Amino acid sequence: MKERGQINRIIGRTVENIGLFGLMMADVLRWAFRRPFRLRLLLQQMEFVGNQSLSIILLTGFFTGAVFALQTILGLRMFNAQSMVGSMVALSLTRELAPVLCCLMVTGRCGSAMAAEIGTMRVTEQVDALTAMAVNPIHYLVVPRVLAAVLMMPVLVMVFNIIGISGSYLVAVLMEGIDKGIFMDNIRWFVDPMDIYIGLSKSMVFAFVMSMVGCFKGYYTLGGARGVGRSTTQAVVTASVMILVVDYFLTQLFMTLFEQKVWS
Amino acid sequence: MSERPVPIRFVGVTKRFGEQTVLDNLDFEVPRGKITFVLGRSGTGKSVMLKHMIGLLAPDSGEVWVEGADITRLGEREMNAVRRRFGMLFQDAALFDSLDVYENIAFPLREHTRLDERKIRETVARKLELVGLPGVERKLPSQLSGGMRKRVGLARAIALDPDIILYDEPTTGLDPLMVEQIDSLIVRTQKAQNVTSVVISHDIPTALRIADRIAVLEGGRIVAEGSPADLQMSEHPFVKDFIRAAS
Repeated sequence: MKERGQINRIIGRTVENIGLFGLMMADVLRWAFRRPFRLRLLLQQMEFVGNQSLSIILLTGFFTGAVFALQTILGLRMFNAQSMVGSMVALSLTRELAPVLCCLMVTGRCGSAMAAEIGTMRVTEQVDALTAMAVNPIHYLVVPRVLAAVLMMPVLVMVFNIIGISGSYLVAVLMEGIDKGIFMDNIRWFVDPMDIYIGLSKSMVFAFVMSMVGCFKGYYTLGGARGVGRSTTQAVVTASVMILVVDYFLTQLFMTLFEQKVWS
Repeated sequence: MSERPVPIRFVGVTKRFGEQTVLDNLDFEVPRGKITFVLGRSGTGKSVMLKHMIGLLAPDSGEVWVEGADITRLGEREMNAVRRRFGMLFQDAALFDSLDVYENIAFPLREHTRLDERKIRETVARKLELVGLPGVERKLPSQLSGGMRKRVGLARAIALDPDIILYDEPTTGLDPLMVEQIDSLIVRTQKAQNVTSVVISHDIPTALRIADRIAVLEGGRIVAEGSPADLQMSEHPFVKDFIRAAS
């Protein structure tokens, strides 16, 4: 009996959270196009999501490309096809690895910060103070963060792509002695601009998911410092899982939509 | 000419959180231009009541009338128009910790007026002067003491010269000297701006000293109401115990 009650409570809470998340998403879309456009806040958030994430993206991008080249060369050597490493790394990065890994890194850095910041504002009544001053908290707090994430994530992913390919170039050409002409030529030959566009489009959806989850968890924080900690953890875990799940469905969708392009 | 309606009126307001009924068919009126205290033990729903006045919470049933409008029926735009008539001092001041004192006080001015920067600077300086804190514009909230934060919170609350000021536990956690300062500030603000003030508190000495009217909340209802002198002579057992415990 007790367990059934607990299950009912969990289901109830989950349904409630899904409903609240949907309502917040609708609110964000509604307020995103309403005046006043808070350009200063948007630029601040773009600087936070974009500029301040740059070092971590450079670092992870470079080593992802490098290690991927190492592993790929090892596999391709069995078929004496190691010269294909450039195209393999570039394709994997642009289509999958860059958008997913980049967004997971930004989730760890920015999604958690969004949840912690808004969560702290919630428990210290700063969110209520905004409402009391006739300022919509979704408009003031959530919209600039979501917009900034959606605008900056493709930029970061493009940086990840470039630095990742540079890392693989370093390993393949300078360390493993693969001809640089063949390396670059293979990338040009096999990587279609559509692969890059698809990766960038995915990253915008992931950015929306990441920032929405971060803001949502922060906005509905309960309790004091403990509640903020819980929201922050939940934001990172939920957003990371959601990014991976959404990635599968998006990949499926893009494959259906651009079948000719992807597989030609 | 018809008489102006009471600024705030609760009609049969009930609010529940889960199984707990916090406000139980509550009827209450706030008189215009007076300092009204709502007293009660911790956790009796005083802050919940205050949050209903400014639409931060909505009742499960009943009506909340503010300046002749039932705010439970208002849309967001109309509700915001009502909110602009309020100033609210939160329990811990709720200053935006990413903004300095100047930006905190300038915030409602920037949001709701078209004042140029010179006018905003003058207004901020005037409000800080009123709360006895001139020259702290560039300090961050984290650099202020509890009492100073409350005074800056009050300066922000009165930035738009509201008709009604709500105080949520303004003296909780302050030393006696600071309590006295905040008390005189509430009275001074009241006189300077001729506003309607609602103070939520469990600080009985303060209430007896500065209130024009006191209401006691217990069990989700107002169990006693009147002037400080009336309350001191009340025969209601809870009110008698409550006042005796404070003396």
